[in-house]
Amino acid sequence: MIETKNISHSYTNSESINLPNISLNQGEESLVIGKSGCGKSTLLHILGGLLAPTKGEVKIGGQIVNDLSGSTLDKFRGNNIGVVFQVPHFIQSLTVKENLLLAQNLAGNSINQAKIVELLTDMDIIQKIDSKISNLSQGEKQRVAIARALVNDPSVILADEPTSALDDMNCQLVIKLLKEQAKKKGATLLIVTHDNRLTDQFERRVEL
Amino acid sequence: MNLLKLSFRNIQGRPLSSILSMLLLATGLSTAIILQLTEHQLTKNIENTGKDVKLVIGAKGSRIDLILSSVFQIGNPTGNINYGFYQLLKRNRIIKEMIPLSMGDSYKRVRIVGTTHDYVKLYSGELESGKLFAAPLEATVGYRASKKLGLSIGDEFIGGHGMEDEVLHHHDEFKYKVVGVLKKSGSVLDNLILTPVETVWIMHAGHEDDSDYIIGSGEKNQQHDDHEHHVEEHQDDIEIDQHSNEHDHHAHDHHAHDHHGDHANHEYDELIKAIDPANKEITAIIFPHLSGNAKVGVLNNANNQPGMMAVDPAPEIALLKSKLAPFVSIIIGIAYFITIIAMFSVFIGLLNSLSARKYEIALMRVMGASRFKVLMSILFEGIMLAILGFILSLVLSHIGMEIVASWMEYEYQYEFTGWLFLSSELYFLIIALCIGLISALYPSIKAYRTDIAETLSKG
Repeated sequence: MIETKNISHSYTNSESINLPNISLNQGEESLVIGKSGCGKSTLLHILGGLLAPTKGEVKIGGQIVNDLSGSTLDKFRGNNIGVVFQVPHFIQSLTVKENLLLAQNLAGNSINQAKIVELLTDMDIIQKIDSKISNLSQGEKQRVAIARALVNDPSVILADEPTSALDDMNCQLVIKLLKEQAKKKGATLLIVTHDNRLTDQFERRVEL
Repeated sequence: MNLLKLSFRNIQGRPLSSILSMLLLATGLSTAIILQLTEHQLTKNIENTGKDVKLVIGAKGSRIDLILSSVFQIGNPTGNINYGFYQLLKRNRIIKEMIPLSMGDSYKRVRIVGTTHDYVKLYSGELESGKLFAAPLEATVGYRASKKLGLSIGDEFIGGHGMEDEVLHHHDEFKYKVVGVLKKSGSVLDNLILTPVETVWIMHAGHEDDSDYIIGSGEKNQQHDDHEHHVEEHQDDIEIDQHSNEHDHHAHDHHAHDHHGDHANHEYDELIKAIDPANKEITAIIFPHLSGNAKVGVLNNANNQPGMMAVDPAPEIALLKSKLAPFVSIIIGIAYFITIIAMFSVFIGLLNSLSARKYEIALMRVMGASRFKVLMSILFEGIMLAILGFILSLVLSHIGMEIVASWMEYEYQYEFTGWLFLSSELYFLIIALCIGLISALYPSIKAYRTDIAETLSKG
């Protein structure tokens, strides 16, 4: 499902970062561990089609992501990749439900309210469906962010430090939910983190 | 949740900035719309009122004052002329129609005009109830005047000498009696009280000194007197002169009878006969449908009379309009200025909100939005603010016009309304759309260029 070959990236005025080859099948989960500044986020951005690597090839679900550009890439990303960030960001002017509806709309999918309700119920956050984002706690926001990453049934879920900003209880909850949902949807889950609390929860680990 | 909804929610998300932008835009646009509504109605009124008056004769003085006072019923007249001249012209067969106007009195700020039925005909006035004035002291009241003063048939009232604010004294010996009310005509008639010219003579018979107020300077008065004597020569007035000293007595006599209500017309006939023809004055004569040689003839004749002048309204109205033009330009300038500030306000509001929402833009891209969609969402915000501002400006301008109308009506003696919609107001919608588009252009391009990975790394 995810396959990278010899990718390296160099930002302007800096040395190039070589990234390890990754190969994950559908439904598999893996952790990428490393200290901050070693290229974890770069890897995640490249995998998510948010950043084009200087060298190498990224394949997701049989599609060579490097070949895509412009709105085709945007559409591919919206439909196939769900991303969860360290700090959960939302469109502040919208409610929880509206943020999820927007995610469906921007990916070019038809509105599916039932799915939103189902996801939020799974995340145990259904009671906040009509709340403004600013009225949610950090842990609640992260759960909504997971729901948003899943709303378009992506084949790949990428999570960038999803637990670093959370306390132990929320950390465990978020990881549990991510794993559960990925399994339920048959999606490939890749988490990049420096959070040691996650190390023993994943069998497959890549060190950067 | 589509892009339009998102844009609307983002506008809602920063209420203060959005309201400021909309208010500024609405202020600018509504200033321009009010100006246009005023100009439109004023021009229409001026044209309607002026189009059928081809010549005006009045006392020498400011030409524009004569036109304003006698045609438009605005401001003070230039003075009075002798009724003898009117009678002289009346004998002339080439003049088909002429209307005497006698002004100077008012009742509660409403002008009382002594005239003939032709004046009503000139503006196609129709009776709503009662009849047109016939005998002296009978009054037919214009539609709005009757509403404003609460006058209806059978009511009596006491007029005052002077117009508008400066009523000098009340003619309390004589009471006007309302005999009719006119239908709304959308002309000067609406705001007037009409009565026969003779009424004015009777009113002023007891106050010889009145003429000083009307004519203004003593010097003019002197000229006037010369002229009056000139006209008098044509008239057989020896008998009337004998009576003239007694009319004060008559007036008081009349006052005594007043309580009994009914007066026979002949009572006034005597009174009128008793008035010295030199004191029979009117303020102006207006000539509808006068053209060609007849017009030139009357013009020359009047201009040769001492203390008198004839004025063609058309060039005076054109002059008046040209004098208004700079003020109109200034107001348009102010409107544009405010509108440009509004444009900056929309621009700054968007730019500010965008720098705070940089991460949200990147997020939209992560969720599958193309660069173009992101660009459109920002453009929509600008355009939506502009449309909301435009709608607000329509509300403000028409309510504002309704408020402005109340004092404009007093100043110009016409009915103005805020409930008039001009197709040219759509032109302001186009201006508003352009403003929204221009002010959102740079912010939307900035959003278009957002580098997702870079923005997310900084977030």
